[in-house]
Amino acid sequence: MKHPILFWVLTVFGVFTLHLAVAGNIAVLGAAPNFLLLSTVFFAVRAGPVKGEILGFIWGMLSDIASTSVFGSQAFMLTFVGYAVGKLEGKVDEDKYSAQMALVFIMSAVNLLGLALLESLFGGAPQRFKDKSILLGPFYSTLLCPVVYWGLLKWGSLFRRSDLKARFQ
Amino acid sequence: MDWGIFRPSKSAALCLALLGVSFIVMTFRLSGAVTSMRTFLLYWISPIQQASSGSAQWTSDLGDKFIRLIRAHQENKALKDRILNASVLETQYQELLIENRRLRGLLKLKGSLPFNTQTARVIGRDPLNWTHAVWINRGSKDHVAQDSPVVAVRTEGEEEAGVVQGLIGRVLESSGGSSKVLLISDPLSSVAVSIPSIGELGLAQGEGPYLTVEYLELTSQAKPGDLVVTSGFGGIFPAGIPVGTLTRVEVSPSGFRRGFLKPEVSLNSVREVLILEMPRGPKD
Repeated sequence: MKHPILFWVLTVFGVFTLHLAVAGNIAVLGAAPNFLLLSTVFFAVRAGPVKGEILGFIWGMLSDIASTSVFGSQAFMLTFVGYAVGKLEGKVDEDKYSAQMALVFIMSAVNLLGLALLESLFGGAPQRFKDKSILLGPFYSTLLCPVVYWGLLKWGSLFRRSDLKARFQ
Repeated sequence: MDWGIFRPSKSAALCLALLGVSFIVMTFRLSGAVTSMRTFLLYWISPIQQASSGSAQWTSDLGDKFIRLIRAHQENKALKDRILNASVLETQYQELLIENRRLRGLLKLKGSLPFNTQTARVIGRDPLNWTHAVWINRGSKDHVAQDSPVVAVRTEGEEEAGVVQGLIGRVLESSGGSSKVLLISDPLSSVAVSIPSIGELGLAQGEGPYLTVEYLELTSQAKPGDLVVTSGFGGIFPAGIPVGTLTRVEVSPSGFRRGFLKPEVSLNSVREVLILEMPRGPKD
């Protein structure tokens, strides 16, 4: 494994920059893919719950700062997603797209429900979640899952991350 | 004691700690300490926002550049560089012409408004809530104050160029070289408005893709097609800025009439904006 710290630093800021730069520009019918959730699931299922929840927390916090949602809500949900998916480490076939996509879809839906609940509890703007287009988000993220995971595996292989179990090398 | 499946592990303990931190941050998000931390982090994140905006722009131009390159290559190999340069220059010229017209419109308005203004460019959008907030390239370094109104300016036509087209929102947070603008379509946004044709007052409330005008009287004469402008009450927005046009009026469950509003400005496609520097009294 080459430069582990550099790998994680670049991954955190690279994925966040990708999310800011691309997610909104490829929105369809008002729904954008959630690259942060996709990446959290990717790393949690391969690297375990500790890395999953730490990455989820950092990406959630960065996303909270950049958005108008209740500050801390996305950190909360992505931490939970990172932990929950990480507990499935070794139980999900990382080489099966269907399994990965099902996981992403379920976690996207959980994330959306959780965010709506937190917005209601903490006096945010839960009306945002009444917009039907936002329900397309989990489907969109699920469809993009194979492409994003292929990219992340390639990225991991640049740093010789054998723990990410690169399939396309 | 046998904890069984509930045996605390390192990952569970860390998860609880991170969830706890998030929960505390959510609970105390309006306190001075958390607000200061957020402002500090925002200062460091704004360069990423600007960089990502630049990369998005580069990505969106990539297709055009590629097509132009192929055409030049097909036409003549020897003239390829010259043709490519010419076409790039021409595109840039057209872009500059359009930009020039827009900026002229902004400048024309700047001179006619009774308060100081700053022009700004939209450099990004809230990725989670596409229609709720935008980032602009003016920040605290440019003395952009929180709650400053942000408007769009008409840039087409000789007569209409330079006239305020409509309200976009207000500055939510300002940091370094950029600011976050809360759009009027965000559910957190409320604007005191009036309907000049009948002299009634109401409250424009963001609902995501559209806006509503709440608290119109039951006897209100408001009808589809009526223009709705800011009333000036509330002290954030000056009076008379167009907000939108009524498309429908109905009786709301609260016992008032409610109007549905189509924003005067296309909030999804706005590129250049004007920040109004309103005189503010000292905060309590």
